[in-house]
Amino acid sequence: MSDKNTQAPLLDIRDLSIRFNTDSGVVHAVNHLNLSLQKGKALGFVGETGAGKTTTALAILHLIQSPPGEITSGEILFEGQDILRMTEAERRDIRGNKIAMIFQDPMTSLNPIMTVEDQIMEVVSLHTDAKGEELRNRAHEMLQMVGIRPERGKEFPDQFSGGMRQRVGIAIALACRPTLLIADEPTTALDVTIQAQVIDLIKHLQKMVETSLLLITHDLGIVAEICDEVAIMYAGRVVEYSDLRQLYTKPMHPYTQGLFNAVPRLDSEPGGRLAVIQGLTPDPTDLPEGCSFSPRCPYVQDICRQEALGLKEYEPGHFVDCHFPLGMNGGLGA
Amino acid sequence: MLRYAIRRILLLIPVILSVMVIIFTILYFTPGDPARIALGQEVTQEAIEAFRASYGLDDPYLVQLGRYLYRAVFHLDLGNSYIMKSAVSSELANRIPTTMKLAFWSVVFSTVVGIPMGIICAIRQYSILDSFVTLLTLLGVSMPTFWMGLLFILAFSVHLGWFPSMGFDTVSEMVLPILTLSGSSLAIIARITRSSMLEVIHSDYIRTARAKGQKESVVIMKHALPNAMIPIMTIISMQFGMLLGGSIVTEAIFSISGVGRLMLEAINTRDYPIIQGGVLFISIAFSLINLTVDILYACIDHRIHMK
Amino acid sequence: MAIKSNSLWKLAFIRLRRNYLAILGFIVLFILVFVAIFADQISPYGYEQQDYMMIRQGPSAKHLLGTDEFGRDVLSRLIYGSRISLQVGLVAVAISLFAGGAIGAIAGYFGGRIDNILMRIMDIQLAIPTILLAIVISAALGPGLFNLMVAVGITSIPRFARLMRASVLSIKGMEFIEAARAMGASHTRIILIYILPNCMAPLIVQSTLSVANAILFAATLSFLGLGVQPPFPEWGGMLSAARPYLRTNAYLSIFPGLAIMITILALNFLGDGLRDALDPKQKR
Repeated sequence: MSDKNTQAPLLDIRDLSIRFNTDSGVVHAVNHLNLSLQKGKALGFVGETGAGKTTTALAILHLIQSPPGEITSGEILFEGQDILRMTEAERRDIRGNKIAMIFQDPMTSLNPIMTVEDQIMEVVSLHTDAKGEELRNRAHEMLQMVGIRPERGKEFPDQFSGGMRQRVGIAIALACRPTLLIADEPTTALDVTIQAQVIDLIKHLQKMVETSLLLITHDLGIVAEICDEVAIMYAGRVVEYSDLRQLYTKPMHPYTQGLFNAVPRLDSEPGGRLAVIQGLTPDPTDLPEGCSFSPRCPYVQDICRQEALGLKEYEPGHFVDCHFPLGMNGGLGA
Repeated sequence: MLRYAIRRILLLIPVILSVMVIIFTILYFTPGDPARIALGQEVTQEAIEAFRASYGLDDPYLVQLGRYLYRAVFHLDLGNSYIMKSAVSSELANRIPTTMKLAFWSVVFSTVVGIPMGIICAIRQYSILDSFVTLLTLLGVSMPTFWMGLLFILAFSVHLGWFPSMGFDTVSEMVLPILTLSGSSLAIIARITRSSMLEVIHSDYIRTARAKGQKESVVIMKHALPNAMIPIMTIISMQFGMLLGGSIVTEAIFSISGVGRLMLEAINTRDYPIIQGGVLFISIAFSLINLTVDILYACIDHRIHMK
Repeated sequence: MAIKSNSLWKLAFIRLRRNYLAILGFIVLFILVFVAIFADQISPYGYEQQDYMMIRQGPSAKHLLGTDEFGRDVLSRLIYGSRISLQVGLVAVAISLFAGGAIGAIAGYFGGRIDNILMRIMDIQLAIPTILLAIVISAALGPGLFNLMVAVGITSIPRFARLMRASVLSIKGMEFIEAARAMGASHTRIILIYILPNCMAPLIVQSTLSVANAILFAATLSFLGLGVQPPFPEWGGMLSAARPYLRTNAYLSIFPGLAIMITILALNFLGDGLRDALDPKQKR
């Protein structure tokens, strides 16, 4: 996406569109989405529920249920190869091996009738030549790495708490030392105290295994803690993308600004009201003309309702999908 | 695990005893004098009294019930037939193998065909094959067993002449009764397998298995099917009861000398000891099957016997 | 509560309307009920009317579905037979619904020992395969329409009891029940006014499917010579009478079977549709 990077990105999603054909109409979940991630970096992928984050993540693994899902345009380049054009066998080779995923709900993401070590061993046996005891040892190593005593490997998922199950999920995901780890809201289903532990674990292991990380979340705080770069998603497209510092110090898209204003700060006035973004996320079966955010945008102009701009690099490395980004010449906002 | 099995077996005893009490009671209070039916109308009062005395029919209800239970439990003696005079247990013993053979092969057939049918439909949801099988299973559950049997005889015996319409000794005689008896079970098993598999296939852990890079066929057979099996097994064990009951009809249609036909004859001649024995046998067989299935599940799913 | 349940039924109705099979089932059942009520007007002949010149004649313009071994019109007998089947289905289910519903409601509502005893009794009944129990009870009661209804009705009592108990248990703990109790409502009042309306959805679905089952059982019993006796035109009994002529007059064995199958199919379509409409999560 950026020509200042001499190195080709590990993951480069170009013009990706995904829709779901349902009884109540065509849901446009992802619309002409662009995104890239460099090797070894951690990218925070932020947006509200229903913005299309998980759909995008599943598309990277090519695991979208079809029907009803359908990828209508774009390419997903992983190490320079388009995942969408690979054979199923080639994709199976990548899944769990080079690209692994941690799922949102640890309560339902593990097979209830398999022991946890069997579930870790399964992914190792698929992608390495390890057999028998060696497999088991690898599984135990992984359990230890995520902070579970290896003896507990013989137990079943329902004998673990939510946080412990998510650790098992992390062990499965990292078992083959992936080059890309996708974490889909890995802490949403967990208690607040457990959340911090799991986030720390992911942060620590990401450095240790040297994997790139695509962290899906709606929590700007977690992003600040782990990520190097941030992409803000709204109604199926990336509306702002830059490195962490730039985006946090100078959000340029009105939606991003709205998101930051909706987060309580220590210095905000006690009893004061949080700024709320007016209106609701658009109905994905019936997206507005032009910029999807235009109906809610406080700075909306006529052109916004007619055409969407697409990501534009307003400052070096800072991409915004807005005709009138905030803090720029011609911009109207603060 | 063993303790779970033993506890389940012990729990079976009061159930079986209660079944005996219930059936005995129902038949005891049935209007009509079995002596008169067994001996016919042209008979002296003395003969009737002798008959009643020899079967203890003049004793009070509780005495008769107690005697029946005592003999059944401690001597495995279910009394003697009013009509044939022989021991009920030996009459049953003669007929049980045939009925078990019929029920067993019907369960096997409906399971072996029904489960794959359901799996294929679930994998290919909304395909033409799925719609076709769904329609077929709907017809299957909506056709009375006896009518299905008559249609099979009409088609395969009368018109095509492929299989005989009577008996159950040779393999070719066994085909139509087994098809008839397994028809509705097959349909029900296929339907449950389909819906159970659909539910499991869309669950998160199946997505996890796919995300590991596992082959779709392995995902289905190793992850989805075992999880979907629990409701399927419940249905199969319930079907076994349906099949044992349905064997009465099937045996009547194909003139098979099994327990069902024995009972039907006994009902027509008010031969109560035989009816009691038949119901008892079928209930015990049914309960044992349920028990076996429950223990099997506990093997698949460790959560069950933990509770 | 009232507003919520109203919209529940409304939503269910909208969902049901989109289910073509359920609509088809409903139309077929509507026609059947109509035929049963107006059998005297619709049927071309009486069900006992014999014509010795026309014994076992195949379908013709005069007798659309042919005649049986006594020269009776098969179509007319099927039309009158719909009365018997529908009556048996409805009354038998009413019996199991009331008895099972009451047992389940009491067991679930009061819990503890009563619950334990009642549900163990239901378990014992379930140890006897249903069709077998129906056969024994109807053998004990003797032939006749009412006895048949009772025999068939008793067999599905446990199913309704379990269903009702489960529904009651799920509702019992809710706050509006607590509130009613705090206001001094009696147990009967709480069960009838507060709990029952909220258990309706599963009961309706189960009832529809049970009518199908009851009709099937009734036909089976009559086929075995235990239910409704000749000359009354029960569909299963007609099949039984037609058996000796299977090789020579197959139509006699086909039409009554078709009548049973179409009725059951319609009830199953409607029942499945109702289940999907009332409880879209639980598809089975």
